Amino acid sequence: MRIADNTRFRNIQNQVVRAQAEHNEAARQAASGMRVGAPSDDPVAAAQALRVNHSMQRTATFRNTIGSLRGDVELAESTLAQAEDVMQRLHDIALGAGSGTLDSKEQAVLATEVAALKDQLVAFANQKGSMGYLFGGTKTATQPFTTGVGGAVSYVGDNLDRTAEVGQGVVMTVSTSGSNAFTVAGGRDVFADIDTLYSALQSGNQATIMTSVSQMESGRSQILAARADAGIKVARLDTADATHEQAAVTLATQQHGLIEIDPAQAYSRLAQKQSQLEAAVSVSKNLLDTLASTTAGLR
Amino acid sequence: MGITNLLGLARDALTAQGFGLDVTGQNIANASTPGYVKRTALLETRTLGTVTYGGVAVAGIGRSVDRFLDARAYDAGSFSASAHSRDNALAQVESLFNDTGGSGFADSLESLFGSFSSLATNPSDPTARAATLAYADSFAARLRQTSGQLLAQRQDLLTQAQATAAQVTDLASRIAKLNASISEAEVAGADGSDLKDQRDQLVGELAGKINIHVFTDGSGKLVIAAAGATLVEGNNAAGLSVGTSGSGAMQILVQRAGGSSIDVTAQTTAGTLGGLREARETDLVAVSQKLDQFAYDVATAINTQHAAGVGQDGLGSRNLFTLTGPAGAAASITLNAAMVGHPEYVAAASGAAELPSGSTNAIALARLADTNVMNGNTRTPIESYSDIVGDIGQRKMSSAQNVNLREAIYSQAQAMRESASGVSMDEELIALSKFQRAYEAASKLFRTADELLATLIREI
Repeated sequence: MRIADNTRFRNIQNQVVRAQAEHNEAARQAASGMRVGAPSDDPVAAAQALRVNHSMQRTATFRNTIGSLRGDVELAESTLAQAEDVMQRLHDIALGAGSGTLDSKEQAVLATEVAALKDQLVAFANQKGSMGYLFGGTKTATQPFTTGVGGAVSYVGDNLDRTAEVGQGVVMTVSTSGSNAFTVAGGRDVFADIDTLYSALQSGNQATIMTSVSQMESGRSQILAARADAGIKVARLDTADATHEQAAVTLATQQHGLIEIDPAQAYSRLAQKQSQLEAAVSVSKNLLDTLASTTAGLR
Repeated sequence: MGITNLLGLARDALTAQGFGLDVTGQNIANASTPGYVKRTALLETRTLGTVTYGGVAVAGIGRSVDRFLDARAYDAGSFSASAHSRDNALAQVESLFNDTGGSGFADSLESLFGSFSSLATNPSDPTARAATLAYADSFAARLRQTSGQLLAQRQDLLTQAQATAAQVTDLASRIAKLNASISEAEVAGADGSDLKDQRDQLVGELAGKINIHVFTDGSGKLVIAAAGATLVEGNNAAGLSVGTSGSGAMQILVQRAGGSSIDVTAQTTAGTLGGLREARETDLVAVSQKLDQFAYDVATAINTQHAAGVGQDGLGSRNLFTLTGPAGAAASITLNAAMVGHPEYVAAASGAAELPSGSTNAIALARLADTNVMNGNTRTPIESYSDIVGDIGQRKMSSAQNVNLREAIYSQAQAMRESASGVSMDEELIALSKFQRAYEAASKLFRTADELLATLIREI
């Protein structure tokens, strides 16, 4: 084919422009560390990166949820552990008084201690966490256990669970039921039983004190059950968090592989494109020199 | 045969070789003039009746064109231009959905769902409630903004098409005028090569604007059909106009001199106009529809779930978003006016019984992020969004590949055309030597004849 001068100049120009464009792209990748700078660089990877990013975001959300809930669940557990100790002491008091070796004065002293222990237990049952009362069900803003005029404790919380999503599709109860731990809903009304013990100690009703021994024991195991439940929740949250922690690492690696570029690869490609550009420029220079020398030779 | 005849031969030769030098000079001078077609000095033997005279005569100037190669270059130019204009338009669309580059709205979608999760963790916290409203508001604003940018681009592409149509009209009338001038020049006995160069250059420019078909009528004038309708015929030119149809779609009309017009919208397949039309009516329409469907599906799913729960006041049946749709959903979506300034209305609880800290509904809202509520309950929200981004990326990638392909074909077609019509300096420099030596030889011939004549006169 006959090559016109314009064709030659255009070819030279095209080659240099193409080499420049490729060099520019390699430089962008090396500088930004991103293989996919725009969806068109790799549409499939760009779309998948969005989905992986979503999983990363969700994982982070679950970990946040776990982080902010764990404290309250733990607090519920340790509070119930202390409540359990109180019940143990009440049980011991009832057992001691039930042996029949104490006089009425000594029993009155014990009654005072029982009253104090009851106040302590009410305080535990009304424990507040970072998001309101721990044992009121969903009524976190209202003090769940209130003491009436005659000293009777009533429960004004509800028996509903507070739940949270701690993994994809994993919704678990994160509240610890105060009604199960302390009221008749869990078996026995612990506070009424304490009141019974208190009255029996004051009046020296030996038979009732004897009954109270087993009532205190049931109350203790009722609280123990609630405490164990809270402990299981802490363990579940920890397991879920560990799973998410691992998933986060895997997802980050996946994301990296999808849109980022290995620095070594990026720099070696940049060097390659650089030498290609230099070659294109030097070939162009050569061609232009040839054109000039033809003109000079025939002058 | 005599000495005087020899003088005549020398005179003819000097004239002819001088003409050759002149034509070579023109070629060298115009080597880089756009549209310039290489000239050739046409020489022939001079006849004098039936006698063999042996002189040389200048027959004219040859213009090295190949109509077929020209037509190929026009077509290739049309397709290259349409590929470029579509690619430019798509680059703008892509920039609106480039999440790795910091645009796009995956972030605001994730933030919205993240805020539902935070709300579920602490439903009675006023800050968490206010955050949910704020993220919902910014998600809606982001959709409106993207939709608005797509709309502005649609308008921009129409304006570009109108400017291009005006250029087509101008080019057509200039080509028609050149048609007239060339025929006048030819009638007057001139060859009109320069005018033809100009005319072919304009036809090439026209091909870049719209797909054309060029042929020559009986009198040698060019007839040009643009997108199937006659645009230039002899000395007459029609105009091109771009408007919108009732539905807002781009409409391309060839305006005849008499006032009638022909709709060539569907036939406009190449050139800048073809690319603009494809980008506007195919790519942008598809992207806008997908965006609307996305906005509609995600907002409807959230609304339905939100309305199922109750606010802190124990009342439910409130939507989080207000929108119309599916068509126009992205442009119309706003935070429900009744919710504005009322974070306590955010429905975290599923019923009044679990107030204030029940989070069943907030969890359900958060879980929509991983539920197939989109595209006829087949995709999750982020999957649906990633489909849109993938689609746009695919369009842009294939259009960029098309640009490279069309460019290569155009470059090749130009090379073929220049192979027939372009100036090669090597060739011209050789021709220059050739005519120079021939001129020198002709001078020598003249001197020889002159010396012979002088000798003869002396002898007499």
